[in-house]
Amino acid sequence: MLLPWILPLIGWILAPLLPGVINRVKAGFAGRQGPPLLQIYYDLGKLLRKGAVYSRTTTWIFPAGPILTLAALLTASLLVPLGGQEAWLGFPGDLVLFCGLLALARLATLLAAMDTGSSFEGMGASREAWFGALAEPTLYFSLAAVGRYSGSQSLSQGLGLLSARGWYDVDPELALAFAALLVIFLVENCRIPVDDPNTHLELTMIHEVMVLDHGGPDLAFILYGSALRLWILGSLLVSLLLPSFGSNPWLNLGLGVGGQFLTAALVGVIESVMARLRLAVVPQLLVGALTLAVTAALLGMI
Amino acid sequence: MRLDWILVLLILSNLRLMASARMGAKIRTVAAQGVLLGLVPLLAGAHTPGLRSLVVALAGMFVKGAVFPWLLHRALRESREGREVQPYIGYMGSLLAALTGLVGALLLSLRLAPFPAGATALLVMAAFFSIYAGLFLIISRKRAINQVLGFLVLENGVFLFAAGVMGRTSLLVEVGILLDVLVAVFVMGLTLFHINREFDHMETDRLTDLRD
Amino acid sequence: MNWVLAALGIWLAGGLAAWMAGRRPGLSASLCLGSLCLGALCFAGPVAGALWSAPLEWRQSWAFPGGDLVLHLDALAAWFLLPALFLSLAGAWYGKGYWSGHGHAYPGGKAWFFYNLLTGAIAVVLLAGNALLFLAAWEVMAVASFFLVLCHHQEENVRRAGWVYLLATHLGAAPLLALFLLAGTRTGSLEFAAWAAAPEAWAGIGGLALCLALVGFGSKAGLFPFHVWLPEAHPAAPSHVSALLSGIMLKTGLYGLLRFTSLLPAPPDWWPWTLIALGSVSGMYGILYAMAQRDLKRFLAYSSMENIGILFLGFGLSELGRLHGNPAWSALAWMGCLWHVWNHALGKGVLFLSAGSVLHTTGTVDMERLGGLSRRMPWTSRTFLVGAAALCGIPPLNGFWSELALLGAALLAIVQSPGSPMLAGMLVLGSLAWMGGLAVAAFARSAGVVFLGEPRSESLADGGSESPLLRGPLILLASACLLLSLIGPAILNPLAKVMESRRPSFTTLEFPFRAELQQRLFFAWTGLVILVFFILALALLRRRLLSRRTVESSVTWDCGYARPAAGMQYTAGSFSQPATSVLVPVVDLRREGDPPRGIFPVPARLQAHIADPLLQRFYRPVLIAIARLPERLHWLQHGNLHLYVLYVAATLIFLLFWLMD
Repeated sequence: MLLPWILPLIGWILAPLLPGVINRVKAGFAGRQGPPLLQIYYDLGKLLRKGAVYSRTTTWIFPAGPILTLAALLTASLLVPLGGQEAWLGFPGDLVLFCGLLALARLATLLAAMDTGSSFEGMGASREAWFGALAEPTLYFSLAAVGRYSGSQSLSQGLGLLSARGWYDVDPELALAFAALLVIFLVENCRIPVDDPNTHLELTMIHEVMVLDHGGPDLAFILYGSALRLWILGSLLVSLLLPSFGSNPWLNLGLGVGGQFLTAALVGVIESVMARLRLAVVPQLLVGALTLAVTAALLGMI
Repeated sequence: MRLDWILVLLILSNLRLMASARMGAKIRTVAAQGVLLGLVPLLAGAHTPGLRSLVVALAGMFVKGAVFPWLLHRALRESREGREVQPYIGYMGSLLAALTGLVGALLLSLRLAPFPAGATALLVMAAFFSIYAGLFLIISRKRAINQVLGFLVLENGVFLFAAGVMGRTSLLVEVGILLDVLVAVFVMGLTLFHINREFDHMETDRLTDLRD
Repeated sequence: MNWVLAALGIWLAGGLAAWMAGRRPGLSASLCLGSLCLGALCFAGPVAGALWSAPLEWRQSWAFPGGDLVLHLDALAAWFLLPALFLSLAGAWYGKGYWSGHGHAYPGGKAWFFYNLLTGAIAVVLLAGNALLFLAAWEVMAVASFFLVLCHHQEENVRRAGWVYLLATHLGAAPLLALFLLAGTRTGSLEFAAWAAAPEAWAGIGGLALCLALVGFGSKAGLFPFHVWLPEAHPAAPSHVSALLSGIMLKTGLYGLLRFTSLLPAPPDWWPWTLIALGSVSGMYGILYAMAQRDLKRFLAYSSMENIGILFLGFGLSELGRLHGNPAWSALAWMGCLWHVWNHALGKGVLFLSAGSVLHTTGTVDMERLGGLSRRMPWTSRTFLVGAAALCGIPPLNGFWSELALLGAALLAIVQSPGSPMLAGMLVLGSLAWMGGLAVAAFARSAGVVFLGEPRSESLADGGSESPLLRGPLILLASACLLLSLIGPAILNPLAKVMESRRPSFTTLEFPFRAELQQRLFFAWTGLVILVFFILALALLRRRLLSRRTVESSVTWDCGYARPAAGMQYTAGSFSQPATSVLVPVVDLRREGDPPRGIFPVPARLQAHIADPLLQRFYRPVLIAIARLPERLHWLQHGNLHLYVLYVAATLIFLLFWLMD
């Protein structure tokens, strides 16, 4: 009875830890100590207590962008399962709502970026719009392949069934869907090899350049939103991969949360060992992932 | 179950061949495909494999996974050019063609069902798709090494089809096919070498200059 | 049904009166608007009756052969009629303000007459129960809209667009004439009811009839490859007319196809696949070209083509389900298709009217010259954003509901069905996902470039704000969008009526599925409510946090450059460049200009032009070749009256002898 309510709560509370884990792993690879694990919480606290500076070019759309984005992500967090635990809000066809909410978050960010009239932010918006458009079919196809495999139309049912089946009895289409979802995870979260969250040159940024002008509570919303996005998309990956042991839901939930941190560590490893792709090559990566997802869905026909 | 994984890996290797522009990576992919393919007769079919099929499989894996790549890498070194510069069909177009081919292979294999024991729809689909990928490489790429690779992939598809659908083929046929391909690759390697020495490039579309 | 006749009469009388009063624009517009209002009121009772209880029919014998004069108002017709009435009213209200301002060429009272005529013709097309009446109304609709497109006929490109439109609409009507003649000779009647009652008459010609219907109705709907007139004609018309053309008249093509296929026995196997394939190509082609346009209204026209594609995807998937005897996803797709008719009508209406306001205020719809309009035109920018979000299909706007149904149907087909329907589901899913992603990009581009940032040309920097006269209809349509998004699940009951009305043997919403559907819609609605709650809560939180802090104004981050200028903003062309450059093999893109050279570059120039390859490479050469043919017969034409009489006499005598045999 309590569990469905606890699931999103855990996500909301623990999400800012994920970027902390990523940063620590990266620092470890680079031989540095790195920022504390709780750094994002400190940042959020600091930003929420600050005032803000707005450009004279902007209108109400500019502050509305982070609000809409975060609201969409908070709602999306109610739709994803974790650790064999069904989502708070799950229904047949809920992945349409899920993808729609991600699209809303994207549109809001794009418009807020274009509201500043900056050429940098326009450039970032253009890239984000195009990569997002390429990523959307992949997300749908990989989730549809999972749905076909499990015979279910909802995220909770589909992904939950899978992890219950265990690791050994897995068919290759799930592996393909997982690979495609991993690419989507990296793209949507603006991670290497698609986008580098630590870059300092506006010309090469995608996501960071779109939020250059935000400050204060707005930036806090954005920062928290991107942590939450890591958590949400990570939940899909973890649910797909991690088996559930036994019938104790608390144990499974704990395992799921552990899986989230492992995913974050994996992202840290990827960011440390891979170089960022040239912008012209990113669409190729995305179309490649789309091919994997479509193949996964096609294999479901046999 | 294990067979399914191998077949999916074969399909993926075909996708990679169709999408990639790097010749070295392509040659390695074809080598890996040869090794994977050698495993298929051991896993397909209801019987446990005997010594004879084990030997044939190992020989096939050695030839396709080591000898051919070595020959092709040599030819590649001679040509001093590591990339496909301007294919007739670009990356996106190739992947689109690949997906179309995949759907076509799937429909074809579903139409051919039911299959004899040991063969699955996935196996037939993978076989058709290999043949398709081989033809695609031969048709859509300019550099001559691609034609050799395409021929190898096409032959792999035929082999897969035979291994899966016909079950245990006779030793003579298997060795025959292998020798056939070996001779073909040698001839092609020689031809490539000579084309390269005469013309300083290996682009097949410019061979039309040779017509009288 | 007498109310319906009264409404048609009022529209005609109002239109004529408006024409008479053409010298006084205000009076003329009021007459038109008043008659439309009255007519819509008359329609209210019958439409509500058809949607909630039983269909109505009115029958009168007339002089023409092949059956009575029949008007038939069932739930399907009512479903299409409702947005038509609403949009034509909003459009007339808007036109009243649009044509009253100075500077905007008021085309005279006849424009109002044709506007009323168009509304009436659309209504009769939707109501007709007799093929002859249908065809007559179809032609009146085409002619009235042709004259409306030519409102600003002083401009060269408007005249050209008008001719392209006239040609296309007549070429499209020809297959329909052939189709109705074929059906009439086979069944011996021109009444639709008689056609449905004689399924054996269609044996052997079902496929041919469907092909004719697809070409005829598809060309009206702007379906690929018959779409080339659409991006020409819709931008040329005045904006409220464009709204009516894009929002409603395109749908009459879909309506015709729905009506006609419900008369036939079960369609052949290739039929749903054709619909899905054409819908998929239309949609992807439409949104891709929309992404590349720099004219705001042309962009909206291509977006209409995309939405027609969405409608046909839903229609095709439901037909496939009907063939395979699977009620669940068929019904869901059918529901999404119908729902999207409303959502697109309202959304596109709002967008075209907003674009009209931009034109009215600034004198241009060229996106590369616009920018920063949201401060001058706050209401227009808000309504445009509502329409854009609705057509992107994102929550919580109404477009999401149709997206939910259509994508849900595709998913259901993928999850549940074996073999080919799963492939169809994948095709529909992939097309819709691709369109959805690109629609977000395309609408972010248009809204961002036109309304946000700084004005891109000097002349736009100062000038009046939006006309208050145009505000009302914009807000009306936008609030209708918001209302529809709010009451989404409640629409299921009338919608079920429409779905069941289509074909007696196709009652798709049986008990268990209907309950499941209701549950699905309710859960999605819960999600939307939570989303709205989060938005409000976060907005309040932000306000509280900032209320105690200092909030300052400054310039946009300029990277340390001392003289940022409006011209440095990202343009519409550069925004869509990644998409168009990757798709150069598909898109017909021409670039010309002088790139900057040297260490101290002199002024440089770049011009990109995008053309519809189908028009350039196919229709134009073919039409030119056809135009050359009659030139061979030019020797017959010499202006000598005596010889013309001779031709006529010779033809008559020949026919006389031929018929005597």
